[in-house]
Amino acid sequence: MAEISGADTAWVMVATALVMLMTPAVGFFYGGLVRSKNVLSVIMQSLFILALISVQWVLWGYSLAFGPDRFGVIGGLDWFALHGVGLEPNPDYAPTIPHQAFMIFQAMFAVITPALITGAFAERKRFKAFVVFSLLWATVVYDPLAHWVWGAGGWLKALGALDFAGGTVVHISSGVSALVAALVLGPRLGAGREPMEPHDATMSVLGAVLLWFGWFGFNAGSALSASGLAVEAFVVTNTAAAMGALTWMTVSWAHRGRPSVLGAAAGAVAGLVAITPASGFVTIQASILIGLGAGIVCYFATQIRDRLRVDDALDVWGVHGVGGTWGALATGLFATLAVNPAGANGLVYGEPDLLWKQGVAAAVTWIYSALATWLILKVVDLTVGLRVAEREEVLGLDATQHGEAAYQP
Amino acid sequence: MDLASMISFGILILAWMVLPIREPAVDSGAVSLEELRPSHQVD
Repeated sequence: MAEISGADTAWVMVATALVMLMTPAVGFFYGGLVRSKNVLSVIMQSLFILALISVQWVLWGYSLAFGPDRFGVIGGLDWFALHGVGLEPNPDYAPTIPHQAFMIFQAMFAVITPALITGAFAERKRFKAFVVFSLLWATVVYDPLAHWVWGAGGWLKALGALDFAGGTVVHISSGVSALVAALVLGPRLGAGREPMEPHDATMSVLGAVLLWFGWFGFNAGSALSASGLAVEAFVVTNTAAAMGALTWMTVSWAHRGRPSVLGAAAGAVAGLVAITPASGFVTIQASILIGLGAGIVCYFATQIRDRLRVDDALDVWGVHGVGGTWGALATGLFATLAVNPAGANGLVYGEPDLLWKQGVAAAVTWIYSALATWLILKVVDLTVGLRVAEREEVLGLDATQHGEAAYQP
Repeated sequence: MDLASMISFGILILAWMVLPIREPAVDSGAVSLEELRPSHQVD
């Protein structure tokens, strides 16, 4: 019987709780950015996904993502409803903690990923369409991708692509899917013509700092042990978040003339996104450069998105899609065996091979996420209908979809 | 890498020293002086 470590188990359980907090934090981050008539609908989407995917994951999601491999592309349903997933460690994934601890930690990643996409279709998607889309997306996009990158026998893992905590699986997939969703749904009524200012920037900043807090569990928890590697991931996570905040704020200041509060918050998230795949593989100095790069490329990605008039309402593509891509490629640049002997050396350390593999993983994730998301959206549109009626959109989704108001007059 | 990270941080600090903060567009009518004055202020 494998030896269970109390310290490792305790840390992974705490990390799981930290990552759980990130999903409602996404709701608050996005909720503050929308108009007051839609804030409840946005928060509800995150809350609902937390519940929906928690059940999907234990029934079939975990088995598809991490179950016994089928041809490198999907896990089998051997672990349906967690049959065979007990308290004994699984040496393929985490040899010092109960298998169920690994499972529930991964559950929180499966939960937050579709929640990230909700920012793209905020203020105009039918609740029923959102429910069906989220369930299909988690099953058809997230679970296979997680298997490819992290599952025992997954083909991208076998290729040698590195993703410590979800740059491809979580951020590129959600960011690219968000872009596709925004394109398929079309812009909000009045987008580009009427002001759609954040109704409560303080709520968004609170959401962003809660994300920063939870991200320690996301990245340092991915070490799956209370170890030096977890500490390394913790430190680079904080450093990249800080550099992302400072850089975005500075670039927006130079561009728009003022140091933006929401810009600093978005920059911190961009830095966190970018360090995610790299967090167990790079040095602290590299994390400064990764955060710097995230603040620059993600800021300009949001500007390009704006110029193209794609109504990805809350810039999920610019922050998560582009930031995740930068992070995946930066792992290929800056990874070093000195930090993690189980990783690889990147281009800066004289080995260009990893950068190529990271590029393949990022490109595959872009293509698969885009195609599968487009298909799911078309199916949902034909069956349930994607978008609320014009009248409902004007009145707001809080009233028309949920029959509730966030604020009393 | 040490040098690159130090230079990047240094550039940011330098930028904060030299970047001006744009004045509110009072003259254009976008923001009035009344709006800028704290509501609790007593003349």
